[in-house]
Amino acid sequence: MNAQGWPLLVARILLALMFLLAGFEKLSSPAGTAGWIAGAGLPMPMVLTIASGLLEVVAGSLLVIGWQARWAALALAAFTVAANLLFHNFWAMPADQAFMQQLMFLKNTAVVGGLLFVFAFGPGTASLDARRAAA
Amino acid sequence: MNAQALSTILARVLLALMFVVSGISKLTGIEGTAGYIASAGLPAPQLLALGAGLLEVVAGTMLIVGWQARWAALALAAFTLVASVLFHNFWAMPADQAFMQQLMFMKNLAVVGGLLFVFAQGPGRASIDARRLATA
Repeated sequence: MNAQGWPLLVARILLALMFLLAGFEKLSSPAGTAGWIAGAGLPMPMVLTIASGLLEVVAGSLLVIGWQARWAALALAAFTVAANLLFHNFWAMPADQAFMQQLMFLKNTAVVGGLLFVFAFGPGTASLDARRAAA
Repeated sequence: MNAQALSTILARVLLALMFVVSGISKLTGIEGTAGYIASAGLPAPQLLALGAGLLEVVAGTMLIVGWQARWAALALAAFTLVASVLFHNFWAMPADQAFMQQLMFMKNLAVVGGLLFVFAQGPGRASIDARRLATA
């Protein structure tokens, strides 16, 4: 493990944490999220809640351990872009929500940028991907 | 420009956007930001608002063009960590704000993770750093 391995492991954990927490939250109390999804006018809110919770937990875990990390990062990036457009569409929100939603939108956009970096460069040496490549 | 260069320049623009936008918003609305900073009990709020706005705009721009991008990313990561602990300290907030502030805190941590990637790996080939390295 070289000097770049450890910072990138820390970076992957930081990037994944919000997805893991939000995923567990969705899976442990899906009713709340499903109501929110239904409120945005999407079909099958319960199925979408479970599926997005699973995606966040599974891809978040893959990102942490660095197994197929590039594809996990790309999946989380696509998920975040979709969630942004569907739920943080600040340009269509009433003025009292628009500021907060724009903040969320921009933070999510920055997270997508971080995930694209993982996709472009791979997870670094402190990862299962690197171990398998070395074997 | 290959696929890696393309995705890293896109990644840098996406990472930097929130800093550039909120930096410009701080610099054009110093009073509002200073009031927010003062409400957290920090000294010299006007100076801090100006300093934070300048840091966000300058380091954000450096990240986009890829000039000294690793140090720009590290500076933004440190700034984001400090801002998260000072202003999104959800563990000390009343219950009605704690959820939203925890969300902000976690998103900021993820952004710090992304910035650490840039610090560790550099900005990629579509950057001034890479161009200078190639011609040096």
